Amino acid sequence: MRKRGLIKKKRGISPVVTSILLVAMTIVLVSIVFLWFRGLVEESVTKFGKNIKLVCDDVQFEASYSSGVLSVVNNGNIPIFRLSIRMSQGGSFQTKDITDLSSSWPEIGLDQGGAFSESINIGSANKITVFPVLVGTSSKGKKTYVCEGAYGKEIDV
Amino acid sequence: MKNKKGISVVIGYILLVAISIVMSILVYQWLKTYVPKETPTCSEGTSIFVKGVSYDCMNSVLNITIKNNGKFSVNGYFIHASTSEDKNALATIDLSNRITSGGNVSSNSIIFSFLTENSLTPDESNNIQESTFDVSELGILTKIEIIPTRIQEVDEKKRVVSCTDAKVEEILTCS
Repeated sequence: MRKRGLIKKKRGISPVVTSILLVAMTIVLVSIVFLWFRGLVEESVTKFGKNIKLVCDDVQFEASYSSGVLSVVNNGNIPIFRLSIRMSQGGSFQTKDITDLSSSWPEIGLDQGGAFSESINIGSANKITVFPVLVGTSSKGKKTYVCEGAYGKEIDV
Repeated sequence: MKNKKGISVVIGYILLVAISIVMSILVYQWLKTYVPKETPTCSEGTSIFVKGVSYDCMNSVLNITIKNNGKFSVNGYFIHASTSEDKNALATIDLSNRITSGGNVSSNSIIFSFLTENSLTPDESNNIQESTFDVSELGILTKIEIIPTRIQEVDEKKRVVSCTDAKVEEILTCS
């Protein structure tokens, strides 16, 4: 009887330990899976609560280049943080940030109704394309995003 | 042996459920950002026109009269000028901080009243606003561009929205 009782007691502790172990293992595994999967999923950058790629559709700006002077006006409601300028000549091109070409670009960018006009050196390029750069938020803080493709303004020099 | 097999199945289920929950949370958070949200856009039908302009080059005074001929009230406007002879050149000189009467400066725009939102109404009794600007040291202005602004509620917050579609342009001549 005593022997039987002792065995029963041992069996009683075991399920509790097992449950604790299971819960602990689950938490650890969930954390590992979470960290692993988060790295696989593309980190989304948001602005005004939506993906910054969708915000590019709402950007409205005008740009012109004449006599070495680049003029840009932000006509829309989305602040333009910077500009990415693609300078093309023949079949080759190079892309530069507006801050590399001009020191007078406003630090906070062009807000609603903001305008910029400054001479910039585009070398021997015969065409420039101006892409708006937006700033959004991600889990790692503020991040910039270039609205490329159809969002650029092409200017023949 | 039976006991061991039992635990293995439980762990399997727990893992499956845990992975499913984590994956669904991550996918939900990622996809959520792609759901279109309300964007700050000006009400369709907002319109202004420049009823009168007088540009005194000698004394560098610009006087403009704006009329609200749209369906919605207007809060103010962005105003830019150009000194280029090229009529297609962009107007990039901000004149908002040069206003002397007929409006107040707010950031880089002009607002008609600090007390009343969207104070320039389409009603005949209150749809005209005259403003004067000191445009000295800017050279001879050739063109002005005006974009009306409105205060609208976006995501339960009041925001100034630019009415880009209602932009008006006026060629200036010295008087």
